[in-house]
Amino acid sequence: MKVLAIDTSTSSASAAVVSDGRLLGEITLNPTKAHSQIIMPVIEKLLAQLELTARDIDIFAATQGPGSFTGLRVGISTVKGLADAQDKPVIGVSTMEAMSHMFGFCNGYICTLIDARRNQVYFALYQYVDGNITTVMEPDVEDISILLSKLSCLNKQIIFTGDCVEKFVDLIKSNMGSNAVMPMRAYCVSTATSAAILAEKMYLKKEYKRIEPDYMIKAYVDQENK
Amino acid sequence: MVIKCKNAEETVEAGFKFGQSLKQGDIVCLTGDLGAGKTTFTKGIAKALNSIYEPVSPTFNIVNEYPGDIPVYHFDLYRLETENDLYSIDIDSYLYGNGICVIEWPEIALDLLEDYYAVRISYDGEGRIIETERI
Repeated sequence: MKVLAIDTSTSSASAAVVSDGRLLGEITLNPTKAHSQIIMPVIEKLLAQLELTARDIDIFAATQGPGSFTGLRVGISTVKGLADAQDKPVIGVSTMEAMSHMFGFCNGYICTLIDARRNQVYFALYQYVDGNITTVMEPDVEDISILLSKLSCLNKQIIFTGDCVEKFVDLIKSNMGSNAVMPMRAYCVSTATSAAILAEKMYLKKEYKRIEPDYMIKAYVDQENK
Repeated sequence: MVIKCKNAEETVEAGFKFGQSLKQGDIVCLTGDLGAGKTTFTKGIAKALNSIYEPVSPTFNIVNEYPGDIPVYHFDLYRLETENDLYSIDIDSYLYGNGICVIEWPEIALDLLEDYYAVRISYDGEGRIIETERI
């Protein structure tokens, strides 16, 4: 079985093909021109290099949110187009779970962060034990300082990953001290491989849904009242 | 700053001079009645930034993008009804993006903006008065 998954939920764009839990190939570009211009050439290049065509792919998948509104729409519509043309399943994977997955081999807590602007972040907190994931904090949107003070109260070592870790590194360090583990920023951008692995697992367990955007719209209206 | 313009060409020229001082990340809110010259002023800004397209009214598109030395994102928010419509056009990715935002009928977005140029164009007989202020 071959799975093609893409991620365009943040400023990076990636596509990966996974087969039976093994990575066949991945392309990640960061930062990119508009996703709409870049993702199809990336997919075409990847498949060509692997000597595959869209017809060889059994399952299509993409990260479905949260993330950039436009990025999500580009990614979701791209995989839907590819999948529906082949009459193949198209699976949605949580952006947050996919982002955390690559660090899941470290037993511990992983906090995923995506910049939601105006000092807010999309976040989630997961705990991995022997590769099994538990959701400690469901994906949500919050002011970064408020989130960090909640996390520091847990008094646990937490791995932070995501597109805005660099932006908030000082805040994270001052709230979490030595409890904050921050991977090299080069590792914080590539999510398609994880999305493909998760999609394959979901398909085999028959626990998947057709992809649908999960924008987690921040309430601009609430902003006024803060 | 206040400028008086006798005709459309002078409005473009005023926009050109104004555009020369703009930097990446700047936001310009343009207010004025229908026909006052908001898009005309924007043509001047675009010239200053070597935009590859000449601005046209974004009334129907809501956003027009003009690549150039610095990308210009030209908005007309007249048709938006609620603040959440701003989300549908992904306004944050423009406001925090790599270009200059020029916003006609900006009222609905003002709460989201902290630091911008306010340009008011009003009729003065046959000509126009253009007032510029940094907010």
